[in-house]
Formats: sequence, C-alpha cells, structure tokens
Amino acid sequence: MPKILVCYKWVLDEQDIKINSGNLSLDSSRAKYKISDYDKNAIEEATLLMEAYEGNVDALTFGSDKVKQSLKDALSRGPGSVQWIGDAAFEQADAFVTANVLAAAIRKNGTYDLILCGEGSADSYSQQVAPRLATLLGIPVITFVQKLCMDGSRTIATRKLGDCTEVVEVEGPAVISVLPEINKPRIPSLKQVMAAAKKPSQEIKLAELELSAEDIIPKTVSISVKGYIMNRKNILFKEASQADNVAKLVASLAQEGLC
Amino acid sequence: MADMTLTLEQRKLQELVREFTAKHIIPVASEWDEKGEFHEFILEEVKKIGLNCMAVPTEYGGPGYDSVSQSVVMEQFGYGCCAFATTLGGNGLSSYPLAIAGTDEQKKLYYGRLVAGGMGGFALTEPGAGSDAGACSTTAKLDGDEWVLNGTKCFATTCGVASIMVVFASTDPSKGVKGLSAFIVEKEREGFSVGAVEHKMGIRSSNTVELLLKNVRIPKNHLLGNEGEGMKIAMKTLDMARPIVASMAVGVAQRALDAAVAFAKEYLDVNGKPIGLNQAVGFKLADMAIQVEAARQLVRNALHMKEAGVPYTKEAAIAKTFATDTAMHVSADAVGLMGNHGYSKDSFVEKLMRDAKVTQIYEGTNQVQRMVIAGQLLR
Amino acid sequence: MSYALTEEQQLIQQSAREFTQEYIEPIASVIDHTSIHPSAVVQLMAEHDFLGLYLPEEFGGASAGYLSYVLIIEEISRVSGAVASILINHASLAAYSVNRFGTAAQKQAYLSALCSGEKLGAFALTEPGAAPGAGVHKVVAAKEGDNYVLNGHKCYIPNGGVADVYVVFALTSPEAGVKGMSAFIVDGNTAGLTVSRTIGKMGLRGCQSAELIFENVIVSNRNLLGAEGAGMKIAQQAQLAANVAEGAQAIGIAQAAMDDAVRYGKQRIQFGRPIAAFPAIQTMLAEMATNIYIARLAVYDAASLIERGEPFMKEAAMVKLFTGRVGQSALIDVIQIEGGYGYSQEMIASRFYRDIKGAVINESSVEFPEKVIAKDLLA
Repeated sequence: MPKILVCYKWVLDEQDIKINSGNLSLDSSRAKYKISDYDKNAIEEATLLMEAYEGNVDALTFGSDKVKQSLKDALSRGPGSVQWIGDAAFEQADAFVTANVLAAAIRKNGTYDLILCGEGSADSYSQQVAPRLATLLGIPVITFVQKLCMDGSRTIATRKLGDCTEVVEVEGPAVISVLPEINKPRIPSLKQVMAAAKKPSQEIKLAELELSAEDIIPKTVSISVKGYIMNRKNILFKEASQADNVAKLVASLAQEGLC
Repeated sequence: MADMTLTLEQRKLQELVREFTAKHIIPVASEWDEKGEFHEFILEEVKKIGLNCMAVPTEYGGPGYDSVSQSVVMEQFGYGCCAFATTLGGNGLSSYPLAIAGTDEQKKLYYGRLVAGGMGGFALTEPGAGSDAGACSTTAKLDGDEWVLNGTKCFATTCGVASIMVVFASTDPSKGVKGLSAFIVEKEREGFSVGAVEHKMGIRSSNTVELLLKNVRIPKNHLLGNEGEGMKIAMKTLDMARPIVASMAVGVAQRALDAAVAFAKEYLDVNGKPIGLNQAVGFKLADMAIQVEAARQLVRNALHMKEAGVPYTKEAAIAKTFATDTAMHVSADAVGLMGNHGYSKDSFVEKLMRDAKVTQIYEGTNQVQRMVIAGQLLR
Repeated sequence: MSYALTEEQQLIQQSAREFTQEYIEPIASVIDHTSIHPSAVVQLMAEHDFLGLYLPEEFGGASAGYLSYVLIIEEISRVSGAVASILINHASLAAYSVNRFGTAAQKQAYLSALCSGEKLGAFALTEPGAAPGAGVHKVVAAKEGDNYVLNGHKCYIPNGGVADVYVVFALTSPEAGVKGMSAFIVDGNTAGLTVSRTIGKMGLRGCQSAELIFENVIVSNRNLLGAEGAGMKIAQQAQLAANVAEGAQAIGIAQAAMDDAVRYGKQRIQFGRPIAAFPAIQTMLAEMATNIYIARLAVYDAASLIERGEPFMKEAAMVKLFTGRVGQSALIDVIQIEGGYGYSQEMIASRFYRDIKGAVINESSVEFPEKVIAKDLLA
C-alpha cells in the first residue's frame, strides 16, 4: 500500500501568450493557467501506481496566489487530497526556493514511499527541483524516467538517456522525475470532475513551515523574457527550367543538412 | 404560369423552356447532385432546342434572343437546377468578352465553336486572385508570333469540358491591374491541362476545375482587345452577366417558394388542418413571395434599361445582390418550414439551400456588388 | 464573457474540450462523409459519464446539473454537430422524459441503463399528416388486457435503428386527436418494431435518422409513461428542455464556424491586405460575435432555470427562436467570408453550414416557439 506524493506546478498556458513581432516582448494578459505538462504525466503515473498497488496519492503545489485555482483540476486527475502553498510573493520563485518550500511541507507531513514530479516545468524547465528536493530530504533521486514500477519497497525505473535507456533500482523512498513518454494522461470523466469537489484540500501557510528568510529568496533572477519567432527563409527558386529549380532546391536543403 | 408582362414570343419561349426543364432537368437534378459529376448529357439536349448559344449574335449564327428572353430562359433553368443553369448560362458569360472586344475573326472562331455545340469557359480567378481579380499571377509573354501563357487558374466553371475559353493573364506584372490582358485559348493547345476538380457543397454537378497552363502557345491574334485592357473586359463581362445570374437566382427562389407552398397545402397540423391555414405560416410564405417577386422585377428593370441603351451597371448589381440574397433566404426559410422532411434527402429543398449559397459568392461576391453600387452612388 | 460559471463548471468545460479534441475532432469529417453512427465515440462518451450527465446519482447519473450538460453540448458541437445530436436525443429527450415522468419502477428498469450508456435512447414523436402519404405516420396504441398494441409508422427519428430504448408517442384515443396521445417506453428489440429505412440528411450526418415501423408491437401497460392522454404535454416539456440543449448546439456550431472565418480572414490576402482588415468583413464578424454572445447568455440562463427546477418553458422557447436566427445568419456569413474556399466540401465550414440548419429545425415546428412565448405573455 504505497503512500505517494505528486508535486505539480501551476503555469501560464503558453498557447495563450502572444509574442509582439516588433520587440519580441510577451503579452500574457489573455493567458490562462494550466498544470505544467510533465506534471500531468507525474499525476497520471502516481494515479496509475495507486490503482495498480492499492496505494494512495496526495498532491502538493507551491507558487503564487493563483495556485488556488488548480486544486479541483489536480484532484479530478486522481489524487485523494491536495495541499497548497501560495502567495503573490512567490511569482518569481526559482527552483531553489521551490525545493526548499516543498521539502519543508513534506517534512511536516511525514514520509512518502515515492515523490513524483515532472522532469521540468513548462515555463522555466530548469530540471532542478527533483534533485534539489531529494538532497534536502536525504533520499535518492531518479531522473528522466520513462517507465516506473514498484515491487514492495523497491522501485524500478527505466531512464531515457540520449540514445540509450538504463534500468535503475532503488530501495526505500525516492524522488522520481518523469518524462512525457511515461504515459498518456487520461481525460477526467464528468464524475471524476464532480468528485474533486468532495476531496480535501488544505492550505499550508508559509509561517507553518520551518524555513529561514534566506530559504525563500531566489538565487536566480529573470532579467528578461523574449519570444522566439521562427522566421521563414522566403527563398524563391526562379530558374527558367523546373529541373534547375529542383537542383537548386536540393542543394539548398543539403546545405541545411536536411537531405 | 404565364407572365403577361412578357411579349407573346417571350411567353412561348418561357413555356418551351419550362417543358424542357420539367422533362430533362427536374427529374434527374437530385441524382446528379448526389453523384457530383458533370451532367454532360444536357449539352446535347439544349442544343436541340437551340438554347446552347443564346448570347451569340444572329450575324454569327446565334438565335437572336433579346435580354429579357435570355433572362426568362435562365430563370427557368434556375428553377430546374442551379447547377444545370450555371452550366447552361456559362456559354453566355464566357462569350461576352468577344462581344466587348472581339474582332470579326475572333468572333467567328469563338462563336463558331459555341454554335457547333461546344462549351465556352471563362478563366479569371486564381488561388491568389479572387475578389482581387487584378492580383493575377498567370503571365503572357510575346515570343515572335505567339503568346506564351504560364500559370494556374482555379474555380473555372465548365472549363474541364469547354472547347474554347477566355483566359486572363498578365502581359506586364509591373503594372498590376493595368497589366492584365484577355486571351482566347482553345482546349487542344499544347501545355494546357485541366487540374484538380473542385468538390463543392452545392451546384455539385456543375464542372469547377483548376486549369494548368504550361508554356501554352497561342497565336498573336488571340489577344482580345489591347494589352492592358483585361481588367476592363473582365469587369464589363461580369457587368453583363449580372442580370443572367440574378435570373437564375430568381428561379431557385421561386422553386423554393413553390415547394414550401405545396408542403403548406398538404402537411396537416395536429388538428388535421393544412398548416398553410395557420396565419404564421401564411405570412411567412407571403414574405417569401414578396422577396421573389421583387427580385424578379429588379432583374427585369435592369434589363429594360439595358435594352434602352441606358447605363445599367448599378441596377444590374442591385439585381444580382437582391436576387441571390433572396434565393438564399427563401431556400433557407423553405427548409425551415418543411422541417425534418425539408432537411432530409426525401426533399429537394435542402439542395436548394446548398445551391443558393454560391449565388451570393460567384460572378462577383455580394460585397463586390456593394462596392460597385457604392461606387455608382458616390461618383 | 463574465457570466459566473463555477470553478467546477469551468473544469467540466475544460475536460469536455480535452475529450472532444482527443476523440471526436480527428474523426468528425469522416463521420459526416460516411454518415455512420459513431458507436465507438458514443462508448467513450459513456465512459466519461456524458450519457448520464445531469441525471440523478441515484440512477447512475453524474448529477452535474443542466448547465454543465449544455456546456458539454456546446463543446461537442464545436467539433461535431452530429455527435451532439446523438447526445441531445438521448439525454434531453429520451432520458429526460423517463426521469421527469417515469414511475420508480420505470426509472429502475430504464434510467440506470440510459445513464450508464448501456442503453442509447431515442424519441419517436408523432408526425401527423406528414406529406407525402398523409395519415400513414400515425401510430395507434390499442389496449389489450395488460398490454397495448402499437401499429403505425414514425419518420425522421434521430438515433432510430441504433437506439435501445424509444420513448414512443402513440394515440390511445385516436378520436380525441392530439389529446388522446400517450407516451410509452419501448425496447428497441421488441418484436414487430423494425427500421424500414435510414434517411439521408443535409447535415448532422452520423446522427442516424430512420423510419420506424410498428407492426403489432406489444408494450406492457407498465411501460405507459405518465397517464393516458398526457403524451402531448410530455412531448412538449421534453422538446423545450431539448431546445435549450439545441441552443447550445447551435452556438457551438456557430462559434466554431466564426473561429474558422476569423482564421481565414487573417490569412487570406486580397487587395494587398488580409480581408479581415476590411470593414465589410469586420461588420459581419462583429454581428455574429455579438449574436453568439447574447445567445449564449440566454442558453446559460434557461439551463440554470432547468437546473434549479424552476419554470423554463418560455425561456426555452426564446432560446430556440433566437439561436435559430443567430445560427442561420452566422453560417450564411461565414461561407460568404470564406468565399469559394468556404464552399468547398474539403473545408470544415461547409459542414457547419449544413449542420446548423438541423440544429435549428429539430424539436421545433413553424411558430411553435412563438406560440409558447405568446401563451406565457398573454396568460
């Protein structure tokens, strides 16, 4: 009966963000929030493990005051409860702060057999939270996980590394960060969405956690964020004969390493 | 139902075409619509009654029907099936450039083919040139004694079966719209081929195709009018075609109205009375009839002005806009009135609603028509 | 839109959108082309609790409320009007009738199966005097001991032939006309109930429409829904409840069509600019956006009335009337904006054009909504 925790981040949906073609600045005024994509995979994996091994899953999230909007969404996807820490001051929290806060909250709750999260968040993708969290909690971390199963207190993970895979075993509690290849998150059914309202959600105030002032000052500061626009090359082949055009096209593609 | 405002000759023609339509078009229109293939058989049939080349002047072998007569014929064809009417009216439309700018030689060539039973085509639209007809990228270069045409045309009506066509190409791309010219192209010219067939929501048995022109060589004397006059010729052609398209739309609208009336007389409400006796239904039919009649009279008005030799550009645009809008709304109302039956393939009114929509778009969208009308008002 | 949907309703809408994007959108065109009832999609909808939706938890429904249900209908309609129709006929007509007017035993026997999706529902209402063949379409229910024996035809029944349970309206007292109509719950596999043909439609293809024959179909008196003679009242209530869902269907189709027109308008360049830059196009878009916005508010309001168990007939009729107008004019304009391309069968806009009329027509007849509203005003 494994006790599993899944951590997720509430991020801006990049599809709604508009890039100003002039100075490449971002306009997020119309952007809605969503659960970070790979965290959805983590939630799904936790739920699948719960279903396979009759465990239970708690969810935990940390961020700005907006995270309060994420609770029903997370609960509709399988976790039996959710805890949240949210404050406007944490809009700019980096991986250092995030890991500190999550670790403090986890220590408060007792031990988990497994702690899951996405390999990286959809917005900053620093990939630091899992290793940092594991270090703070003094437990092993397995990253780049594309397949996971449990055998009693053992966890077996397949990691995807560049052009090969590696199977790793760990005994006892561990932090696992997952890749999107690990599963395809199911779409919550209507009853699952309705049931979310009945599941417990609890706010944890920062004051309740044992954190020093330095613990919550970000070590990295974002200086600027610019959009990236893929510019079309707009190359026209206008030779007299089509055969010449084709030859030039092929040469151009070869130069780009495309054929 | 004879129209007593027509001359005796016109009424006789109307009856002839009404019979023709009832015999050859109405019984098979739905079947051809379902198939979505070109209704080739009708070309032979319409030639038998001498209506395949209505727009050809008598000097060149045409039957010599005046504008109102042609309108009456087109209304009947439209009544039978908008797809068939589009095909049958196409010979007229495609031959107008000849009337506008053709030399005697050119007229003999083009009209000759139509009189012989061939179809004509009009290829103006391109993927990048719809309402903006001047944004043409098909080119025509003079090479010795020949023009060489290169490019692609799309949404070309009947051009998949046409024997001869008027094709618009740019003789001077640097001049934009003023560089457009009109050419006669016979289908047998090397380098000319028919590309993709357009599968449409309505007027499905009308042939709508892509044309591919690859180094198509035509004699120098196949230029219609002068270089750079293409846009003028195109606009004048569409101008002349407007009352014809409007007549077709009146036919579609009348058909929808007649279907709705027939239904209202037969379909019983919960109390066993024909729904036509219900005031709301009766008023709805009355509103539809008002629109149809008004549309018809606008067409006649534009044509009377034409026959009188008076400028009728604005009136033709008004007629086209109103008649096609009427066809759209009356056919949609007919489907609504006829409920589940009208929406199903058991009834032909759903086809009318699909067909009517294109009449608001082709031969100059109703937005372009409004540009023309506004232009006339504000000059 | 600032209408205060609860967090839960927003989440329901979001999940529904994910569902439609994943399972319906990729095959929506295929469903339309083949006109085949998409049983796999219906199965998936059942697994996601979309068949029980607003129905009571006691019988396996999700008890999500009528507003959440119409939110889901709108989401589905944005990708497939046909699938939405399947669901509306099942949930707002068949299941609604059993839930609202059924005895505890009837709900036990049928409602759970309808909620879980084990059984698909349909609604076979009398089409009195449908031309052609007036009179044939009446179904009569003769009492024989503990049973009723049904004889007659029904036509244009959505989900006909694929449904497992039919709510059938038949005349128990033919001499009393519509006042002698009663409702029955009939199992689809009852001996004597057959499908004589499936009927093609202009749109909403994939929601099967069938003609049903009742030949000595024996129905237990335990399956009489409501009292003898209460049929018309039950039918009207169910139709009005369905009208609200159909309003959402019309809005969904119109919204999707408008979004497509906006997409097209931004990328279609004519006269050197995207056509969306022209006032003529902007006016059309603004008009339809305004109408859709207001229509949506009306749908939400009427749905909320149903959810709260308050009187809703007038508002439902208003929704039917208004969304009908809005949907129809929006689609005429969307195809107009998209021109020749919009008219092509290959593009989705033409499917929306064909579908919207079905959403508008279903569960309505000429001036039925107006009568309901007027009756309320003049009471």
